[in-house]
Amino acid sequence: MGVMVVHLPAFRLERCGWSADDSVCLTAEWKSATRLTALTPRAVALGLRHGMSASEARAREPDVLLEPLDDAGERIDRLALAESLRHFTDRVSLLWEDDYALDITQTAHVFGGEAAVAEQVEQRLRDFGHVCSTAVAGDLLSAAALARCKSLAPDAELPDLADLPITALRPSDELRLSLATVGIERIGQLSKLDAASVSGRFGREGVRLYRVARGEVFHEWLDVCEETLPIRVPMQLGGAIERMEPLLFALRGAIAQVCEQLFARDQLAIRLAIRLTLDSGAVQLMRVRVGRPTRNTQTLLRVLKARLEGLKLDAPTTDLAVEVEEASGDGGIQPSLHDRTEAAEALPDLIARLTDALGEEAIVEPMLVDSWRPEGAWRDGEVDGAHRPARPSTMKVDPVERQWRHQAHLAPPRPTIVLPRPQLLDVRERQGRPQQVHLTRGWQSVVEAAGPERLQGEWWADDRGFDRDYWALRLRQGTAWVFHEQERWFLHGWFD
Amino acid sequence: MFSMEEAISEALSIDALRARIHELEGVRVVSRRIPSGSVAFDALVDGLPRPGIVELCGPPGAGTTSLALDLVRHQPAAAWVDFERWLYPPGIAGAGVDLRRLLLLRPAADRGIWAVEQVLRAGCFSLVVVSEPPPLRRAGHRWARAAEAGGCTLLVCRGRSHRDLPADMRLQLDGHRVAVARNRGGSLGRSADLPERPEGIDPWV
Repeated sequence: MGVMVVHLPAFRLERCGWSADDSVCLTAEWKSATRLTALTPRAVALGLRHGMSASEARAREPDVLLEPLDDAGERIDRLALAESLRHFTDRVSLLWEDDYALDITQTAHVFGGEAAVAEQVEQRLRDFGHVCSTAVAGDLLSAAALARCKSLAPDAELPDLADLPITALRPSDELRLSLATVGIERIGQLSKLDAASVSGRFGREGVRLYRVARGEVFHEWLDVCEETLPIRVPMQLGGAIERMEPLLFALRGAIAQVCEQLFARDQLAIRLAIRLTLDSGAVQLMRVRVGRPTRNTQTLLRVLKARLEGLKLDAPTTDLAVEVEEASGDGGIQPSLHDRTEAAEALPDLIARLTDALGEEAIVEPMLVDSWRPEGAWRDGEVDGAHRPARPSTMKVDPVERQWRHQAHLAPPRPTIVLPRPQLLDVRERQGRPQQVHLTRGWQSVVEAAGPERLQGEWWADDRGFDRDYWALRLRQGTAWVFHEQERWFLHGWFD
Repeated sequence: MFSMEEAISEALSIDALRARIHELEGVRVVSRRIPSGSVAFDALVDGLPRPGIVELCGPPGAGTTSLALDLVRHQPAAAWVDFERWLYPPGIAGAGVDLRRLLLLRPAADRGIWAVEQVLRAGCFSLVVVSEPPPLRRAGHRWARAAEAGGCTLLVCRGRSHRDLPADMRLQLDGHRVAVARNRGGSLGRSADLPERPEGIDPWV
C-alpha cells in the first residue's frame, strides 16, 4: 500500500492571504476565552503559543494581528483542496487540521511513480499559494510523521522513523502520558517493547502505534475525518426559459452528471435541491426526496418530472443547479422475499413520490390507540415503505399483545366505515329503544337493535367530554352504528 | 332497458372487438383469474381478474367494505385509496386485516385520481382498492391501462355503478347478498350471500 501524506503547516493562514513572515494569529472561542488557534512561524518566533489567550498574546506582542477564525470558510477551502487532489486518486482523506492523505497504490504508475506524484502534488499546491511537504510510506501514520518532519527541516535528509518523537504518530493525550510515564519518548523506544506488555498496558491504540513503529504495513484506511464537497452541477440555459419541456431537457443533462459523480464517490442520492435562477434575479428552490437511495438517472428523472409537473415558474428561468443535499454510501440493495419482482417501481420510491405530490398527511399507516372515544381510537403512523412480514404462526406471541388481542376480542365489534363527523339523525324510539330511523331513502324500520354500549370520558376537558350510548341497528339497507347523546341521535358509521 | 340475453350478447361483442383492436395494435394482454383466497367469492366468480378491474356497488351498510376487506386479507400487501375518509382502522383490524400490510391513502379529490393511477402503474401491490372515487370521466380508461401495466387488480367500491369505469367484473350488493351484474368470462346473473364476516365487525354473530 502506498500512502502519501501532504502536510500544509500554514494552510489556515495562507488561505487568508498571510505568509510565514507576517505576525498574524487566528483566534477562536475556546475554554471560555478567545485563544490563539493558528500562528504564523513569525508569531511563533515571537514567543506566542497555540492555546494562549488573545489578551495575553496582545500583552506580549502588541503589534501582532489577531484575526477571528472563519470556520465555515476554512472548511469550504479544505474541501475544495481535497477535491483538487482527487486528480491523483479517488481516495483522499482529510487528516486533522493540516494534513491530507492520498492512497496512490493503484494510481502512482499513471503519473510516473510515487516520486513523480509527490512532485506534481507539491507543485499544484504551490500554485495555490501553499507551502507543503509530502512523504510516502506503507502506513498512514508513518507517512504523516515523515511529512511533518520534512516540513520542519525541508533540506535535511529524512531521519529514520525510529528517531522521531512519539508525538509524530499523533497519540491521544492519554496514551502520550502513559508512554511518558514509562519513559517512552521516541518511536524507536516503543518498537523495542514486548508485544504482550504493549497490548495489556496501552490498549488497542497503543498496539496500532507499536506496529507502526516496528515498520508494519497496514492495509486499513484511517478515516480520521471523512468530508467531501457536496455534489453540485450548475447549468447555464443560454437564454430565458418559460416552458417546462426545455427545462426538463436541461435537467436531464444535469442529473446525468450528478449520477456520474455519485458513482465516482460510491454514493447514492437521498435528497436533491433544484435551484432555478429566474430572470428577475430571484432563486426558486425545490427539494425532492427519493424513497430509496439511488444513483439511477431514470429514477431521479421520474421523481423530478412528477414534482415539476405541477410547478408554476414565477418568471422565466436563466440558470439551474442541481445539488445533492443528502447522500449515503452504497451498501447495495437487499430485496425482500415479498417484493413483487414484476413491480416497475420500488415501494419506497412510490411512497416518496406520492408524499411529495399529495403531502405527508395523505399517506397513512394507521396505528391503533387505546382510547374510549371512537374517533381517537387510531392515529396516523409514519410510512416508510419498509417490509413488514406477516407474523408466522410458529412465532411465540408476546404476552402483552396476546392480552391486548383477548381484550379486543371481548370488546364489542366496531364498524368498518365511520363518518368523519357524526350526522344528526331523526329517530323514533320506544322506551328508549330506536324503532325507526330516517335516512336518505326515507324512514326505515329497525329490524334488530344491539345496545346500548355506553362510551364516555374526557370529562376533565370542558369541550371534549363525551357521554354516548351506542347502538348497532339492523336496517333493510344494512347495519348502522348510531349513538344517543344529550337528547339527540347521531349516525356515526356503518357495519359495511 | 336491455334484457339479460341482450346484455350478454353486447358484452361478448365488445370483448371480441377489443381483442381485435389489441391484435391490430400488436398488444396482447393476457388476463387470468387469480384465486382471491375467499372460498365464497371464488365459487361465485372464479377468482379475481388480474390484471383487471372489479366494481363493487352497494349503499352504505350493504357490505361492500367487508367484501373488499375479505379480499385484502388474503393478499400479501394491498393499497386502499379512501377518497371519502370513511375507512375506520379499528374496524378493519377487527376484520382480521394486518394494518402493517395495508397502505392507506387519503388524497384530495383533484390529485387522488392521479395518485390511483400511480399506485396501479407501479405494480407494488397485487390488489388496489378505491372507495367512493369522484366522477372519473376518461380517467377510468387510464386506470385500466395502469392496472394492466402494473399487473394488478383494481377493486372499486362505490354506491352506484358508473359507465365511466371499464370493469371486467361488476358485483351488486344489496342486503348482504351479492349478485354478478357483469363478469367477463361467465357466471353472469349468479348471486350468493356474502361470505361470513369475522366477529370483530359483525354485531349479530
